Amino acid sequence: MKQTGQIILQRGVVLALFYAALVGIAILSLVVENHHPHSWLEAHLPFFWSFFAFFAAVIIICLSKWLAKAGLEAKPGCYDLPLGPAEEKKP
Amino acid sequence: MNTFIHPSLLLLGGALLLPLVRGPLRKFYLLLVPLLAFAAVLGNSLLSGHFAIFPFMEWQLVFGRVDKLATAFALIMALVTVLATLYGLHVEKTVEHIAAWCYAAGSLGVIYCGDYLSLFLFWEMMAFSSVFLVWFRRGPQSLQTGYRYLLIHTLGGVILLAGILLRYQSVGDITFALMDISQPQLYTWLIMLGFGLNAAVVPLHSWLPDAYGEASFNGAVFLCAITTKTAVYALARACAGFEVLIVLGVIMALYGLFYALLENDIRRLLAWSIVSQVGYMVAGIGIGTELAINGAVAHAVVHILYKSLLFMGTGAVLYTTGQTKFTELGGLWRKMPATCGLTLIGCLSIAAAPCFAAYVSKSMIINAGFAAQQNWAAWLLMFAAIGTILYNGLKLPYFLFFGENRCSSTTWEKAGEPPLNMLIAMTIGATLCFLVGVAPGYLYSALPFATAYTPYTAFHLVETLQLLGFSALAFFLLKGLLAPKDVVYVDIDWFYRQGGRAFMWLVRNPLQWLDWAWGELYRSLALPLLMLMARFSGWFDWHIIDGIVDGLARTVRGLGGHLRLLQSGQMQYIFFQVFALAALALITLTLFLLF
Repeated sequence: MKQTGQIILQRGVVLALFYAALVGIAILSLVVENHHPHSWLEAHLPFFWSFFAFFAAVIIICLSKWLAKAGLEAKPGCYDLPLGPAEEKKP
Repeated sequence: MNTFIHPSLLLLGGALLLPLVRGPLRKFYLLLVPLLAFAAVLGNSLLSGHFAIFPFMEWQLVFGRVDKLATAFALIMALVTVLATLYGLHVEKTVEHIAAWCYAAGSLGVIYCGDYLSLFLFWEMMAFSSVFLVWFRRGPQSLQTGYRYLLIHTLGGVILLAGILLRYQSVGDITFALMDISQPQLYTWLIMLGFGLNAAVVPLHSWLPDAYGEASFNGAVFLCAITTKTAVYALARACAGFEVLIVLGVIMALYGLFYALLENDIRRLLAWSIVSQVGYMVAGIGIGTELAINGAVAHAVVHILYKSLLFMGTGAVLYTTGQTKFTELGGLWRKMPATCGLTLIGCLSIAAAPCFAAYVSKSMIINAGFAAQQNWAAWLLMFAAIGTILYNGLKLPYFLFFGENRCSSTTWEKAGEPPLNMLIAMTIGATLCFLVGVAPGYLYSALPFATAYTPYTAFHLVETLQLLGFSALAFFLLKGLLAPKDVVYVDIDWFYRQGGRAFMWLVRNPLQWLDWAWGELYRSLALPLLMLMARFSGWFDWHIIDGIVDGLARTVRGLGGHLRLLQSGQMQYIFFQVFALAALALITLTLFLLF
């Protein structure tokens, strides 16, 4: 029990540090000036790259799962499955 | 010292003598040969111009074209040959070392050559030696995978050769230099496709995850560095500014990342990552500006460093546990802390974290895209960079070294740090990844064009930290969706592999049946008919032909017998015959005159 409690405490500390770092980075992005914005949003939306990273990551993860379900995912050995009943009767 | 020494000669000579070197000297020799090749490349880097020119028929074969582009690639190829050989120093199979050195020699030959003929020679040397690095794994799939790899590369070689020959027919020379990409001809496309196949341009890419996932633990380190980056060099040399490469590069960057994110096999994940990262280089070559070419070359150099480090890290897992699937691994940091730490440096490097390798190169290509008004490409490459952070910066280390322990008791017992030589090679690789990240000056000075690019600006630093931090946030919130599953993800190779199987089925079934039916038809119908015809011919010959001939002979003989009687030799008979004929002639003449 004591060990489990320590692990939870450690995880809590790590998470707190992680979130604090994210807040720190986001605040830092307000301080640092972007001299060469590539789009209107980049120039005017605060935390632009934070939003970009978060939503791009969510899109990539969800899209990859959707692609897997849409037909990319197959059982191991799917390349060696018989092409049809005729192929099962190998000479 | 201003003599050009071809490093390929040293590697090939070294490979030739390797079977003779045994005992305690063997390991020393194994290190010495690639180190000599590296020293030769270092020596060559002080030169500039064309060396080792040999006339052959009506052409000039150039084996030593030295310029900044060639030197940058030659240096990194020679360096990775040293590292990969050190990593596999304990490999007993001499032929595996020979194959690896021949492969590296082929790459260095391509990099230094100045004409298409010698390029083709070294190009094929690469293909035919590297396949052994797949076969030497001796896994259940190694043989088939190797044959597929060889078939695809042979096809690529034929496409390239067709392009070279058509180009020679059209322009009349074999110089390997920048082609006229403003007016592409059929040969321009064929040469680009030949190079593109080796660069794993989608849809000609499936050989890469197929072969690299199946290669031996040591062979994969050579493979991950050499083939694709030699092709990137060839594209940079011949096709810079060819705009179609921007589209192909962006497709590669995106296509590879989705498969890498889904993949269950740690080395196939890295192989898909190569497709994605080489996409950045191909796009940079397509953009074609000085900054873009510099970016592509810089990214190729650092990519070789961090990718070989990552393949060494995952190779160590394969070497000790025998496993490569996330579903059979996990939580390994407890058993392999040094491997874990060194692989993490590779992960940070590919994720373009500040102070690590790709931080100084990837942004060059993206900035070059924006500067060249190719905004769509630059934004999509930026989007793909988030994918790189996800699959290689987070998924690989999290599910392999941390997270849930999915190891069987046997795997867990076997897991441990690899031999010292493997750890030393990984440490050198990790150190270089860090050094090039914090002090990119040497790398930038080796690039083909002079550059004033500075990656360490406050904005770039904060932008990168945002990308890393917030994509990590999304990953940890959604990591349940990426939990490893023991499945495979079908790719374009499904079509040609099933096509191959369909062909085999066609041969084994309808074609074999047709062959059998034809044989039966021949045996039961054609053969008796043929026998009948033969018998008739025999009868006809015997009775008709021979009958006529024999009858004629008998007639002639009979006539001859009668004529023979006329020539008795007695004078009275002769006179009688002559006078009889004369009388007959006289009577005939008289009758003719009277009537």
